[in-house]
Amino acid sequence: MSYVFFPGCSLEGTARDFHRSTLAVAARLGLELPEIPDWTCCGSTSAHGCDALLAAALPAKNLAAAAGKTVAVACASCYSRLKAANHHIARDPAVRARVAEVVGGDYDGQTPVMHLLEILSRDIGRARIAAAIRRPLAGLKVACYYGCLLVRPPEVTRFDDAENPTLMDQLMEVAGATPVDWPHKTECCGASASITDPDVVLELSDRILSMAKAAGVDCIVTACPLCQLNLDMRQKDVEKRFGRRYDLPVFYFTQLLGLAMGCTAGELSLASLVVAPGALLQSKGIGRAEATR
Amino acid sequence: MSEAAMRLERVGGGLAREVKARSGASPMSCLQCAKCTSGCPVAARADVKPHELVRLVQMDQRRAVLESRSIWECTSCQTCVTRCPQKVDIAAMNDALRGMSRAAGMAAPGTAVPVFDEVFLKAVRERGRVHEMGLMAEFKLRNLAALPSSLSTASVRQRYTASWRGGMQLLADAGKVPRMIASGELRETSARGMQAIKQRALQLFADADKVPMMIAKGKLSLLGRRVRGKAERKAMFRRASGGKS
Repeated sequence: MSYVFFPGCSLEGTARDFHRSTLAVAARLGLELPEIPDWTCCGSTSAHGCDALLAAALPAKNLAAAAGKTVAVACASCYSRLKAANHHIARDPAVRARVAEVVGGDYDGQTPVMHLLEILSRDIGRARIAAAIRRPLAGLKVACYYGCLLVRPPEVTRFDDAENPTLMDQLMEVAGATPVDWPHKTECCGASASITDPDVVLELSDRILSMAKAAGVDCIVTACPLCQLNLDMRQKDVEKRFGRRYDLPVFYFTQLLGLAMGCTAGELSLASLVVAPGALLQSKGIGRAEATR
Repeated sequence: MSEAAMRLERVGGGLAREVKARSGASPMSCLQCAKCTSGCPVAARADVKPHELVRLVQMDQRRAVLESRSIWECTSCQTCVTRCPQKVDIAAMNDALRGMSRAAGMAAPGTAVPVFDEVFLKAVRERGRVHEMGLMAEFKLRNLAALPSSLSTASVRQRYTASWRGGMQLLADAGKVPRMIASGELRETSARGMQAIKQRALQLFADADKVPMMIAKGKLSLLGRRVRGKAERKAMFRRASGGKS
């Protein structure tokens, strides 16, 4: 199957490590991810909070440009917006007609949209990924954190079980890590309030970090730039506010998968992580520790 | 929709109908089971809890709903609609209510969401993509500038309402704001006004400490990418708003 890639704005900024590690893993699997030419922002929370029509039109413009190929998405927020636009446009002829007026061309809502986790699990498959594993992540206990936007609402995303998703857990198992069962897989980190009301984020992220810590994991694995940023970059603030100590590295799943495939720390931008993972990886004998410190 | 549900929609007052028309959400179907509130990550801090908000919409309590803080604190996590036995899309309802609250000038004081949304969408319209650092800088400037004009902050406003390019200067100048407050340049203000200024000044500093680290970690690019097709995008935004923007 061939894909076109919609990286999204975060992957050009705070989540450049997600971008780099995605391309590194894709290269190991022979997966080509050419970008949609001149893609534009999906509109994210601000568009759907202001104007339902614009919130469907911005994704539609990009999805129409995919020319029928499957759109591969890394960011959970973009994924949610592209899926929601497809859902509304395909189901409601009135929405389709109004979006066509705004965009200046008809779009039927049928361009397939898949998150990288879905592509790896369903299209590439466990066998091919297992064959690419060079250095299994033996002894690494991970909490797979999915957040909100991949799984909810399930009628729109059709991603996985909305209350207990396991796609990322399965991939981590293939990579040799040990995913734990924990109750906060799909709790909200407060991402949409990250800039407008960071207080909310500190409180919600604290719940997730403390539950992961209680589950006895070495690190958290994410599939969303906003989740990762909140749990990683704001972890010090959370610790300070609530007087706790977490010291939990927060990886993108592509970074751990890449490590298991033998990619270097540089290829995976591990130096971009705020909670440095070097000591953890060294203690588990994973990767070239000196390069990840 | 079933016959019974359609009858229910007709019973509802103007507010419920407007929500339905704007968002597709059906507040009239709510049974008050409060499952939404049980799962809501921000219910504990909310002035009006999700199931209460739906009830107020059913009862056509326009002012209580549109002035509530909770419509702005919703994180759009969509746990409510996912678990609702009646599939009342409260997240979508909140989106609609935000629009109505904004249009009626009833947005809860202190919420920064309207300014953030405006800055965000402007970036999408002008550049095609959002440049996070520029977005942060402009948001902070605009949020400060959004203070009511009755407050004597003209000097602050004038200096900081420039485009995001002022961001770097902002970081350099941010330290001057408390001094301005202390030195009485902002003296002619009410207690509530001072509170608002303090809040916004704090917001100005929030995360500023992270900027050098984020640049070192490769998380911030100083210059964002622009995508061609600006005129086309602007026309698209104009058509979406019915020619109003």
